Amino acid sequence: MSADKPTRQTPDTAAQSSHAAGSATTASGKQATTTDTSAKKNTRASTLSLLMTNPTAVFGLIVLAVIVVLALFGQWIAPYGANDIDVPRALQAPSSAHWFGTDELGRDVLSRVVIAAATSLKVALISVGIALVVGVGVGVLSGYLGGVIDSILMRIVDVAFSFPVLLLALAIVAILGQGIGSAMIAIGIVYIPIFARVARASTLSVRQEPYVQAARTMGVSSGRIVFSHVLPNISGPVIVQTSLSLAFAILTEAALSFLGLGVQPPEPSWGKMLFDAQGFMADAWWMAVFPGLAIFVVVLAFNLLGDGLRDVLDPRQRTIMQNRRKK
Amino acid sequence: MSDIPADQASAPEAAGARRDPAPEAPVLEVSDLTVGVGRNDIVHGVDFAVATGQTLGIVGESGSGKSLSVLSATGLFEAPGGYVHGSSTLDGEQIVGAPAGLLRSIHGRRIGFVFQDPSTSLNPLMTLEAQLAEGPIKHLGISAPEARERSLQLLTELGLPDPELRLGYYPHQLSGGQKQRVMIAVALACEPDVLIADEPTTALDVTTQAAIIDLVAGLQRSRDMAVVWISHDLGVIGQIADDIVVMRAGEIVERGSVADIFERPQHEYTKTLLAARPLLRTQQKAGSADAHADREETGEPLLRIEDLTVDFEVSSPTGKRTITAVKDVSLDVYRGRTLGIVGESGSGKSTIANVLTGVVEPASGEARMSGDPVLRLSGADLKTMRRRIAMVFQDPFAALDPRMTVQRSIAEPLMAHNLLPRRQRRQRCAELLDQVGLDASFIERYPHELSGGQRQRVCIARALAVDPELLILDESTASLDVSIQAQVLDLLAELQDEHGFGYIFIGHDLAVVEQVSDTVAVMKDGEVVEYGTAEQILRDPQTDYTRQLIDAVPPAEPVRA
Amino acid sequence: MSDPNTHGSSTAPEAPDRSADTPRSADTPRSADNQSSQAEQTQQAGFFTRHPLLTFILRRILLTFVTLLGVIVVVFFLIQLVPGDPVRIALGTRYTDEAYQALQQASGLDKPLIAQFFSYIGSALIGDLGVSFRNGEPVMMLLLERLPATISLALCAIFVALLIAIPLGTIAGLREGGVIDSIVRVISQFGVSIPDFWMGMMLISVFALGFGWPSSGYTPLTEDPIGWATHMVLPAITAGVVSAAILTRFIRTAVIDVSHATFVRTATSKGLKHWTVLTKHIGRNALIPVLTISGIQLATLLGGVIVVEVVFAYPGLGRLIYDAVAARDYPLLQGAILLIAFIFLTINLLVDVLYAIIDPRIRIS
Repeated sequence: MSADKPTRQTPDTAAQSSHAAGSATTASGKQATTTDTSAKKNTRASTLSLLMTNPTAVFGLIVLAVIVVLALFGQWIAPYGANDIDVPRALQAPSSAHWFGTDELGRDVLSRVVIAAATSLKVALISVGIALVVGVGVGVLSGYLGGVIDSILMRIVDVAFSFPVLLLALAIVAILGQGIGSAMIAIGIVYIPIFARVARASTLSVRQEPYVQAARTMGVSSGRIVFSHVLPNISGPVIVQTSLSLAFAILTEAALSFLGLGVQPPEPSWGKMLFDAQGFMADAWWMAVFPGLAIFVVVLAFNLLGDGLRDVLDPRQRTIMQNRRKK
Repeated sequence: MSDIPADQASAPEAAGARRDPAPEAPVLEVSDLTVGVGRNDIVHGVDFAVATGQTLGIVGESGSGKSLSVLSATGLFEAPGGYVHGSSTLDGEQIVGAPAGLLRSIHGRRIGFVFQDPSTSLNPLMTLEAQLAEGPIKHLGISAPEARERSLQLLTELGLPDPELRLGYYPHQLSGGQKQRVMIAVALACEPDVLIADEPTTALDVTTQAAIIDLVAGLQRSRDMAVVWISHDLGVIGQIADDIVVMRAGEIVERGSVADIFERPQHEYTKTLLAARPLLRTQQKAGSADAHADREETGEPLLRIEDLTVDFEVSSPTGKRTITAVKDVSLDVYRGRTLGIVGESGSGKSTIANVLTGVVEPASGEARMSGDPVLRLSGADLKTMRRRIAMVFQDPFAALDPRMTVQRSIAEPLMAHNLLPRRQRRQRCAELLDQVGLDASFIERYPHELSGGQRQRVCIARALAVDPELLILDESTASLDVSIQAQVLDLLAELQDEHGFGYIFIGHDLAVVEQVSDTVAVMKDGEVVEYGTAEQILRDPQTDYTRQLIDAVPPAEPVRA
Repeated sequence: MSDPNTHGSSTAPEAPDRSADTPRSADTPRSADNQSSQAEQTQQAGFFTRHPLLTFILRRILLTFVTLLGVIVVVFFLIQLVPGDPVRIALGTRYTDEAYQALQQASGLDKPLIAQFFSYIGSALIGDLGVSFRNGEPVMMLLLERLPATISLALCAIFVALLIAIPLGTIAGLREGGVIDSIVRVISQFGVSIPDFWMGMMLISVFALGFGWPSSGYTPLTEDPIGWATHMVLPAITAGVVSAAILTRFIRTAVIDVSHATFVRTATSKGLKHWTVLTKHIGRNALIPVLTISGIQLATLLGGVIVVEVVFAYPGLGRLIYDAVAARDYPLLQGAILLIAFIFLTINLLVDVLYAIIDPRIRIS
């Protein structure tokens, strides 16, 4: 029993056992184990209902729901077309006709911001999808098999980590040629290592769990262990990482588009809109403010959701110290 | 890793040396103390007191609120949303609700603390000298050289070898027992009136535990301080305490002198705790002592281990090295019989289990199960052997996948070996649960909905699922509360009688191992130092180490250390 | 642009990974004890066990070198992945047969692949990164010209970041779950979510257009300290805020972790002053993970401020890279990537060494 136990685990009636806070036993890792157990307990209780008690996560979810609706139906919701050029009405300040004002070609900024949401989400989802599948595959393989394969894969991940993300993405796009496809591939590639590391670290700790040891001693095959024990039990950290990576993928796409290497005109994109706004900073603040706000809000929503998910799915990550194990 | 010089593990003093409960005023007096977090009371109005020169033992199983009560009473409990009501006075001075400044002048100066896990209780980045000197410099206003002199004396008194050198050490350079000695020195650095010892020996090996108990008892006599000793282990409390308070679920169920509690327990719960206490057979009443006497070992052994040696390569940031975890071990297990392996941490006892289950490759040696090789198997042979040898792990909290129902967990080995068609698995699970004393309603539950004892029963059911011939029980009851432990041990004995399994029972507690085993192997530093029937080992131990282990088991009748 | 190596949110997965390489004996006392007792029986004390710190550093250097080789190989193959002929693409409208021949020869792209491979690795290791496609100047020289500007920007940005993050993270961590903590958490979320180039634009429109601060360019510190400072303020804040948000979260987590450790309770139980507990016990232990992440952040800033440099027309490496991409100047792009990865690895190496020196568990094992 330690003094801080009650803060982490209020005595619960569910486990009627006197073990609820059981740490008065022999081994050293006991304290951490107990915390883990309570964490898993929460996970089971109901991820969604717990998430709902987290105000920031709820905010994130609501914003994302709105964004998804905009992305799906933006074409019809937007009051004007993305490329309805109307030069006489260029650079108009926000008004009832143009809530977010107009740009240097008289295009409606609101409509362009709304329609660009779909592109932004599409790039983020596809690229993070690539990173997720490849990264988790590599990470689980590496963590579960260990040995030489692990060493080799992790050296490769180390190499990939030596390049700053945007720089690597930039280089890949420069080589593949600019455009939305290259951007998706580039962002996908640069986020593989982080998924690989998350999956590997989680796999390493799950692999040491007695329930996995037990399965091995019972003669359960490695493939079955990976699918029935490892993957379900690493899903928490991976889901959290997915949410956070979506946030950063959107930022990266915006940066690439800002540099003229991502989404290409005439398709509207937030990054490109900001780039164009640079020339009109003194006269048309709205050209820069609204697309930037759009990026900020979506990224914030993914970050808040990710943070909320972390509290619910993966509370162990909050306490790095307890987690540190010798290899 | 025992760090006790042999001469220190001296014979305990006679029970007669115990003081009479002194009539003098208590130094720490707690009344109607309630502690809780949020809306839940965890401790419901407890009273206790301890006088100078006395030791109060607080015993209870995990979750009983024993540590929380004492830490709250001494002003060390702090949690968001936590509250403490009632009264706790130190020499008449109120601690509950006292300002932080007053608490700081009391902590370390008048109350010293020793915590459970010595490995995390010391700051890893500070030398022992710095950590020992902090308190005295602050409270006694002495200079650093004076503080150093004091620390040196204290460490010498506490029996830390070569104290001058060790003052410059960092905590990671010490063994567990040495760290706990340093922790005690930290607590005693300002000569406090009260020493709070919160499970101070729980994380230690049994022989180290015995040495620490003797040490604290000696220090208490020489300093005439009050001690509050918290433990889950009634045996330990019996060796150190004058008065005992028994706690359960945040309440005190019984209190009295050691003699009262041990000889005339009133409350059912106290009686259960006493009965469940692991004792050596020689300590028990005649009659139960030869429960296993009729079980002669005859014929071919079920499992024969010959000259087993296991090496590990340990890699650290500073290089690789090889250590020998198990060295030339030969052991036999017979059908329907139990081989007990007892040893302290690092003795290599669990490595033997890992070799038998094919998790670790041995360096040399052989093991045969009814003539079939067990070691260095792969593919189908390994799978078959894994069906014949089942294992039950130490920690039932961790041995079940939190995301699997009881049924899926139990059915897992059946699936792995393609034993039963899907439809019959549920039926089989219900049968297995029945065998371990759980009803079929448990089948759809998740591990977090079960108590520790229930989980361990599920683990046993899972081990039985594929009809193994040999069960390895690796500290399988060590993390359970004593009352639960006794029940699980009974269950294991029943199952053995019924099915004729061979057991390998691995443990650190000689009393438990000896109780369930027919033959016992005592291991130290990877070698078997003594091997024979339980009877022989107990009546006529051949090595000092075995004698130490036997001495470390708390006696049936409490004897003051 | 923030880097996923380091974005605050992915902190934890990184930490266990790093810790896998460093001893945590204090957290696993039993196994540590096992080893110490068993090691005595077997191993004779060799060189490596006698000099743990030196061994640790040598291993780190070796590991870094292996990674660097990997980086060079990747960078070499980048140019091979260009669809079509990179020289022809780079020349574009300037294409003539003679120009083509000359450039191909100068860059060594006329040799067989295997020869190119080894000559690239060989020259990269001695700092020869080839010549620019655009003007034939040595890439290394072009890079070194721009490096000081980027280094000053990165150092100023990390300074801004630490100035914000240390107090905020510490206070939030000590008041875990309280009002201040919630506010700090939300603020740091905001900081992580702001696109840095957008913030740069906003700062320009307020301070440059509004108050007439310089919004572009760079003056070397040695020539004009005041000019240097005024040119530095806005880009440094822009780049520093995102890092500050990330570092705040790290410091908060580290402080929470350490303040829950048992040894902090021990320190409290000694009746020490609050400040002593905070600095000597919590602070020093929390410093170790914070040091690591600060190093990574600094390295990331050195290579990751491309967009900020573009926004502020700041003549650093980032701006150079941007121009190289636009001009299809592949050797320059390769060289820049290589240099930045090299700096990243070097900083990480230094941090690891520092870490080992601070932590007695590595220094004396």
